Amino acid sequence: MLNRSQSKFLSLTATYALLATGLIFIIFPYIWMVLASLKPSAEIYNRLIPTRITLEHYRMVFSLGSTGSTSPFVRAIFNSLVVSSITTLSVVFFGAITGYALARLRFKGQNLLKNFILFQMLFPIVLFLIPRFLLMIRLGWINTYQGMFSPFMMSAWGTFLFMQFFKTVPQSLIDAARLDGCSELRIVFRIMLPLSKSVTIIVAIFTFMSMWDEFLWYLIVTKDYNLMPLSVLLGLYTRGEYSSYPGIQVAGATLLTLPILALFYFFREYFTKGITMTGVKG
Amino acid sequence: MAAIRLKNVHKTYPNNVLAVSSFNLDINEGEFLILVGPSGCGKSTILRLIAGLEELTDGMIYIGDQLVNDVVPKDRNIAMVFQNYALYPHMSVYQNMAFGLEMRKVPKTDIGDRVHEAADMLQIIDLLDRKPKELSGGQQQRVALGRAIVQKPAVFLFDEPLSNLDAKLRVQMRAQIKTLHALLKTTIVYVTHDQVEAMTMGDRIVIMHEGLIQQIGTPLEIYHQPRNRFVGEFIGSPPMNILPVTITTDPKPELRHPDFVLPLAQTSAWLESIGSRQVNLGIRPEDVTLADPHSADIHATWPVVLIESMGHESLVYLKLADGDFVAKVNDLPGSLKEGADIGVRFQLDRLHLFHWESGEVLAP
Repeated sequence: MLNRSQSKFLSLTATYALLATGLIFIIFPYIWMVLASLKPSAEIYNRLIPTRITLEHYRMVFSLGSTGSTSPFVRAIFNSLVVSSITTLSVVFFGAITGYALARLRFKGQNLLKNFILFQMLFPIVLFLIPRFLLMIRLGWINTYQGMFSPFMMSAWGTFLFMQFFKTVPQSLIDAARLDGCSELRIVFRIMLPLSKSVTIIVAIFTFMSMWDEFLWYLIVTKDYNLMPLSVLLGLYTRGEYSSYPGIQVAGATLLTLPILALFYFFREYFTKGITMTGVKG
Repeated sequence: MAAIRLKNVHKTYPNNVLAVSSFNLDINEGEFLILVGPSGCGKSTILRLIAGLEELTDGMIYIGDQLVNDVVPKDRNIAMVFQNYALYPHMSVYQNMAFGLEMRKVPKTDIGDRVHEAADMLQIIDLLDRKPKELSGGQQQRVALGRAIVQKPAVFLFDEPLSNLDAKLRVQMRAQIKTLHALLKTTIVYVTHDQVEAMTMGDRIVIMHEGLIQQIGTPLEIYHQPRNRFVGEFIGSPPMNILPVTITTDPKPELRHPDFVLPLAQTSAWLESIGSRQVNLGIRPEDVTLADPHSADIHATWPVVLIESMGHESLVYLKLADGDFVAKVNDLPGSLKEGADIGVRFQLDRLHLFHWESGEVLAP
């Protein structure tokens, strides 16, 4: 028979072993990728631990196809930043004002609109792919920034999150702001948003991440190398002329994850908050 | 300062809840007016209608000479103090007080002067850089007052401003608000459910119940001449005792209760108009004296259930066949003890008679 402390020790060991196994499964591909990006080409598929560390793949990533001063890779980072930032600002802006209207104003058809927003969250994005594409052709927005970000400028999820939070702000604060002479828009930006710092940061981080990682839509609407975001450019490296250079692919993919890692590092408390608040993860 | 006039004011909420109906009230310039009543009586609705935070269903509201039905809250020249203070949590005390002035584009130097002047008056100068969450409840309420004062409005609206404070602080703030009113002479409309605030602070009190005005008057008028049973029971603590009695005129005018008979001194014309009927007799706990049950001049004898002594006065709970009776007395008779009988003497000039059904007072 085991005594109490022994059985406690065993059960803890079993728990940690299980968690560690799970963690290895999840994290191993990433570690493999980072290590591969630092190995000489010949070792990528043969060894896990490199015999020596090299940055040659990174150097190649930045010099690939460079004509003059800008490499396509740097250009793609810039494109990703532009599209992700515009979308993030826009989702926060529209999410806040729509969420405020739905949560705190009274107007006809309010419930219908609320339900419609929830309802359309149920559909998978793929469903809208072809109609959106056709719309972009009509608008002449293929191969443009606006073609990439416009479908994502408003987010039902973001609106919903703001709406839920705004419902918890005491009515008297809104009354006080109205008496102080605030317009409804001012109330949103001077009172509600500063009060909902965590929600704003959560909406911003998750939107930025999902736009940074987006692949399919960008692939569909961009053919122009000058406008291509990083995710699509990396995807192209796996085919065609660079497909036999896995080092470039893993180095590029590692670089793609860096901003997300940085976001996680600086805002990690909001990541956990965001996941517990919404049940959504990036 | 400005006078306020509410004419036939009517408010129904979207869910068809009638909050206020046929509300008519003239508030004088510089007056301290109290709206009091139990929760749900419509008093806060009236305040929010004056502020413009709710839309009128019907009627007219004037502030000064201006009809304000369609004037937005910020242009009504009013300032409001809320029950939960409603300070902006992300702004410092200074910013909270200055915010309304900034919105109104008051020059920066003027804002500074006004904020410091108000802060000085309220003794919160040291708190100007703090955030609301670093302040105690009493300090927060003073900041909320300051935020209202800096606006230099024509009217102050107070929505149960002291409800969240502890008893001691409430007494202090009551005095501070009274002092401020004496100093600024601004019209004040003050909503409360606390009758002590109503009695001690207001020039006039408006008592409301279920969206209707029950009585308007000075605190003493309301206390001594309640217009109906609701007002009688609402004002005064503990509430007025109500006993069912019958008026008879044969052989002589009397009030009859199973336990006592009281002489009626009303005129014969009044008695004729009333006739013999059942009415409710209202007697305030403080309008009786207790005496030895064997004394000659007592009106009734009832057993004592409970004695609550508060030092300067005592509450004596008596058991009647059909209910309870509370007496508030300063001196306890020597024979008084729980379970024993005690004699009760009513102050006959302090009796109130209310109509059996409508509850309206039957005025002599």
